[in-house]
Amino acid sequence: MNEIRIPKGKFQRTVITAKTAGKVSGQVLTYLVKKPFLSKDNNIAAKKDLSEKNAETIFKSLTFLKGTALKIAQFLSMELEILPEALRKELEKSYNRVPPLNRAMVRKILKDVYEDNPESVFKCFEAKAFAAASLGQVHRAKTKEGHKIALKIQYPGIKNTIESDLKIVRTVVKPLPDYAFILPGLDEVEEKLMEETDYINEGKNLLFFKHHLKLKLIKVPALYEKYSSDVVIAMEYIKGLPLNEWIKTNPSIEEKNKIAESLFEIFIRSLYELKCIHADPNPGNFIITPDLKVGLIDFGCIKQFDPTFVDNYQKLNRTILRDKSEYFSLHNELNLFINDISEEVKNNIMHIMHKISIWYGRFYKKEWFDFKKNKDIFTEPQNLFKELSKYKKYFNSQPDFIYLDRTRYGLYRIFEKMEVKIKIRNTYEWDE
Amino acid sequence: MKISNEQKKINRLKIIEIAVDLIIEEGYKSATMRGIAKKAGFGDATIYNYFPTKESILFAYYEDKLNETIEKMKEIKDFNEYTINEQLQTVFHIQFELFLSDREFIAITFKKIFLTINQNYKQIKTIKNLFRTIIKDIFDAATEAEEIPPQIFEEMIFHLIFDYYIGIVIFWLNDSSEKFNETTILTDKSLDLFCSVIQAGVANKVFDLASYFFKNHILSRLTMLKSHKDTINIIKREFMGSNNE
Repeated sequence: MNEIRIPKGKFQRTVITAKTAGKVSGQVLTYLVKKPFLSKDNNIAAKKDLSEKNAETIFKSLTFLKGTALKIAQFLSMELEILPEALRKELEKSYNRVPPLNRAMVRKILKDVYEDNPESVFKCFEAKAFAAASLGQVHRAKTKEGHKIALKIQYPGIKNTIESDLKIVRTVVKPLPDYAFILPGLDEVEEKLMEETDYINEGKNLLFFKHHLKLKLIKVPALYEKYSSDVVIAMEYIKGLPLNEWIKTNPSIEEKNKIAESLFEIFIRSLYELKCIHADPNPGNFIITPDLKVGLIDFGCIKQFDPTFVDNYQKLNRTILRDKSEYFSLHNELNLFINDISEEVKNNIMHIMHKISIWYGRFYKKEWFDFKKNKDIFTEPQNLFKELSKYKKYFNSQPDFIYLDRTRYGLYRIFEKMEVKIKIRNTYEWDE
Repeated sequence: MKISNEQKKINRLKIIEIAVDLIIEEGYKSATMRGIAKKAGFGDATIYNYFPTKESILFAYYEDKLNETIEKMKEIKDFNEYTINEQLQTVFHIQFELFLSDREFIAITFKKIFLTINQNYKQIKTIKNLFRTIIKDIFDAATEAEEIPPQIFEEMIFHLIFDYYIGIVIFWLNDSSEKFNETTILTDKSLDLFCSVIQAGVANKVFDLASYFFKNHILSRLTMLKSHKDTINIIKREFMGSNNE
């Protein structure tokens, strides 16, 4: 009975947020009281300090709410450009946390879907989950024909939970200085989360990748539509370990390089050929099979791009180390900035972006990029991004960019942890 | 005409089934014993061999559903491995599953039976005892497996769970959420809380505390009373005497 459960009742949830809201307001209050006595520089520093502290407070309570909140927490930590090490570790733990559904509930949900007992539907069914998924949990089963399958089961009422969670988060982030900037992002998160609760849609995504992403090094499970519904999805069981567990088994550097290359190839090919990426680079979503293939198991978070956007993004990458003026004119095409912007501000932004592009170019500088030898690469641009974020108000909201960058960045962070050496230069983004 | 026990059972079930349909269609008041008999193809008098009153058909229905619940519980292969919380939840899930197709009937009759004080106390007692058997069985198993400490106020707890059952059914009847998710979640959360209280032996601890007070404070006061032994004896005699008469 020591399961960690999602505090699901609205009452309980509101109590937690009330606590958080109290803390956040408290901190804003401290800032406002201090404000008149601070010099201008100190003022900025204090404000920054404030948003970091707030983020941390919100973050802590959100991870406690788990499930949907996990995603929001991830999102907020990205937007506020801070991801303290301790919190990142917390997040990682929650990826594969103990499932919240007990056997009675699982039975009930399956019975609602199949209109029969799970033991009559399947040859065998494991009532205990073997893995947690973002909005549910996964069980092993065997069909009457003897196929091993994985059943992902959604927690009942999750849609209402997402709605009420986001309502709460919107209230909580109100005192934050970056409120206006965060808000549209939260709408996007809500939309994506709602999409994720629709397992029929996830099944469609799975089939799309299965039919279109023909790569030898990956394994996309078969979908068992017969056993799937809007709250249950049945797919072929893939034997292996989730990436984060696999790393703990101390694989050789060659094996790790191979896996990282596969992950990168999946990303690049999906982006440039399918114009559609698997946008949730969470190490728990990749299963490493005994023959070193990468099994893709979670198709809840898929991002489809406009082909023109992908073209422009590709051009951007190809010019990054070559032609500064072309690189800048490309940015104009991407409709990055709001119309009402002075040349001076634009130049300032471009100046920072150029610096960022030089940093970004480091990944392509040599044929191979060694994540182990370049540990500093992720700390280096943090100041640049912070500087850039001062100009936030001049940017158009670009959810496509955010998703793409976040996926790419997430993947690179995985590579960093794996300490691999791979080719970031690829046929789509680099001419030999 | 002599009919077999088997046939009797079938007839009895048929009457209940038709009563359920008729009550849904016409309402409780308009559905008459005669109407039920006619629809079931029995003579006006025959029906009374099975049920003395219309109300007793309702009791029979709820009793049957509890018996079916027991059968369904037995069908679950690893039921004995479930935790007490999971077992209790399953009882409720099965109940609602069985109730579902007759939901309108339940809506019409449930409160009438379980919430009004009537002369049929005995029949309610039968249902309550059946329910108690199910719950006691689960509690005994959990105690034997040392999942929960033996409960001192077991009987009181069983009463409480029966009241809870009535409450949850009424909640379910008012639940308009998709797939009655709200009821599922409420059952999950409330039983979870309830079971942790049981597991922690809260009731036992309350008793411990009470007996501590009793021993240390009340008993010590009693020794004080010894000096008034005669008075107590008079009271005692009067009390016992009136009892004996």
